[in-house]
Order: sequence, then structure tokens, then C-alpha cells
Amino acid sequence: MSSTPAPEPWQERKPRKKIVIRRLGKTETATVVQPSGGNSN
Amino acid sequence: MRRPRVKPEHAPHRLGDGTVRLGGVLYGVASEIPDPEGWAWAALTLMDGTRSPGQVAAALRTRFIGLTREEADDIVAVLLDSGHVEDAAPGPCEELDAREKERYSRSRDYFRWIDLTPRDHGWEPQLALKGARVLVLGLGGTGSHAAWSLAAAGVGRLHLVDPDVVELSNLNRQVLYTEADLGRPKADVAAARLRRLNSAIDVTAERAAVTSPRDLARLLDGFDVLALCADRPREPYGIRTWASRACARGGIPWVSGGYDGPLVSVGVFGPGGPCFECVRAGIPAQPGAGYAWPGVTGPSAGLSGQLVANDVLALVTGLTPVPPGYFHGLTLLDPDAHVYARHPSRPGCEFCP
Ligand SMILES: [Zn+2]
Repeated sequence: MSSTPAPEPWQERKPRKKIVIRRLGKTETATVVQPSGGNSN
Repeated sequence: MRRPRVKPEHAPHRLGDGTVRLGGVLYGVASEIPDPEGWAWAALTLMDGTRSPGQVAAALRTRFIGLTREEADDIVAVLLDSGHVEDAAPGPCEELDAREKERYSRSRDYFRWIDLTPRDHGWEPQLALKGARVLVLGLGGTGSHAAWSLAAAGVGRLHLVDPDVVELSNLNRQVLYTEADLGRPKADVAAARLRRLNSAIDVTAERAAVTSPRDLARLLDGFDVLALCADRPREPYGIRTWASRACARGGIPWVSGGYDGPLVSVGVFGPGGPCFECVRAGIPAQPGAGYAWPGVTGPSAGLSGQLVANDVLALVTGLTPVPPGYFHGLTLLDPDAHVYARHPSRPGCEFCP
């Protein structure tokens, strides 16, 4: 058995605020898109 | 990055739950950021090309009092690395003149769109093309379209090889020739045509048939990539096998394209992936698959040549990094079908890395 020891007082701080980018998967992205332009010039 | 700006093609959208969508709707480009607090949205809005990364982080902290300096810097750094941001104060690119920059402006926009590597000025993929030396073997249905596309894209050095003369029956699909060219060597006509298309690149040609592996190895000398658009001599021990072995020995990536009527397929091979012979060995033999009937129209030829060109551009620019060692393509009889085959190296193959 192992257990996680209680944090020392100096370890008690808020989790770091951050952002995480996730690349979209195949089913989340467009497989069929009608051309929206770009044919004239 | 001096003054980050979200790429126009990657403009962010905010979903109802606060999630930020970036990079449009294209697989391989699009991404999302869970952003309930609005940090990412605020940072992206601040990245309009008028502020340094430090100024964006500082402005973020004035808006969100709870953010530490490190946290704000981190949020900005994640976005700068994401591939969705470009520099509104790009570094100089002196290797291209003003005319080249105008000619390739749409290519630059395209590469910026699909490229997720932060760049100094955005011309890096174009410079890679300018420095590339590509050998095009075969100038028929596939090769004429591939060569046109590579010249138009600005591949700096092209060498064209084909043994044939232009015939009337070629003109239903071979894009570089006209009625005035009948009876003239395709290599000469194609080179002249491509020089008129793009005088900024170096195009050479020879009228020659590849008749031995040694021939092919000689032709490859000094080139970075092979675009194999010839189908003679035929397999199983034909020009593709010769190309596979010669390119493996030379460490040269190569692309091979062709069609069987409405079935178009292209193979991409090179260092870091299984060789042509190994991938082919993984494809089950099917009765009737070895035919070589001449029927074809422009679409099959154009698609196969343009797919070859696209894969060559991808190898040269590194966009997009699909590991070599596969076939892909399509059949015009089934719009639902994308042809794809990837098989591992056979144990002990002397041509695989
Ligand atoms: Zn192999």
C-alpha cells in the first residue's frame, strides 16, 4: 500500500494558470467544404 | 517574434462555452483551446500586430488581475508556438526579388495557412523550393502536369527527361503541348514551354530513355528529389524498382505517380520510411491488376501529375510532414474512396533504412 503524503505548507499553492491547445481530429473538422472563393484572382 | 498577429486564415472564433476555435475547419490545422476564463481569447485579440509579446502579456495582466507574470508569459508563449500566429514585422528576405514575391504571393499565403512552424518572414518554404533540384522522368500525362506545377511553384532547378515525340493522341491530356509541336521531342517542347512560364528558374531537358538502373543512377546525380512519371520499363522489375533502389542508395526521396484509367495513385518514398518494394509487397495481389490499357482523359492525368507535384512540394518544404513509404490516390468512379496503402519494411530488406 502506498498513499500520497499530505503536502507541506510550502507546497500548498494554487495550480498554475495555463492554456492548452488541442489539434482537432478528423471527425471534428470539415471533410466537405464548398469553395468560398479564390478562383478569380 | 517581434509583433505577433493571428494569421488571417486562422482567425479565432469563440464557441458558446468559451472554447476558442482557431485555424478554420481544416484537419491538420484547426485546433481549439478550452478558455472558460477568457485568457486565450483576450491574448489573441491583443495579438493584432501592434504589440510585442511582452506588451501582450502585460496587457493580459492588467485585464486579469489574478495572473502572475509567469502565467501571462506562458499563455503568450503557447500561442506564439501554436502555428496560428505570424510576425507583423517580418524579418527581411533578400533572397527573393520583388517580382518573385509578387509571383509567389499566393503560394506564400497558402504555405502560411498550412504551416504550423513559427517563421521569421514566411518566405522560408518558397526559399526551399528555389533551392531545390528536381528530376522529372517522363513527360506524358502525369509528367507534363507535374512539371508544369513544379515550374509554376518556383522549383529552382528542373531537369526533364523523356524519349518520345509529341503525337496527336497525346493532346487529350498532356498539358504542355500544342498541335504546332507534333513530331517534336517532348523534352525540348516542355523545357521551352516551362521557360516561358517561369523565366526565374533553371530548366534543362534531354531526349532519352532510361534503359538500365545505371542510367537512372547517372540521371539522379545532383538532384534532391525524383518525380517519377514514367512507366517503362514496366514492373515487376521495371523503372519503379530501379528508382527505389537507386534512390535508397543515394538517400534521395522520390514520388511516383500514374493511373489506370480512372484509378489514380501516387507513391511517396524516401529516408525514414519503408521502400517501394516493401510497401508493394504488402499489397495483396489481385487478378487483373497488372493491365496497362491506354484509355485515359485529362482528369486522371492532371490529378496524378498534380498529386506528384504536391508530394514533391511537401518533401521539399517539409509541409506537411507525412512520413514517406505509402501510396495514396483516388478513383474517379467512386468519390467516396481515397486509396491508401502503408506497409512496414520486410525483415532484412537491404534497401530500407
Ligand atoms: Zn524495403
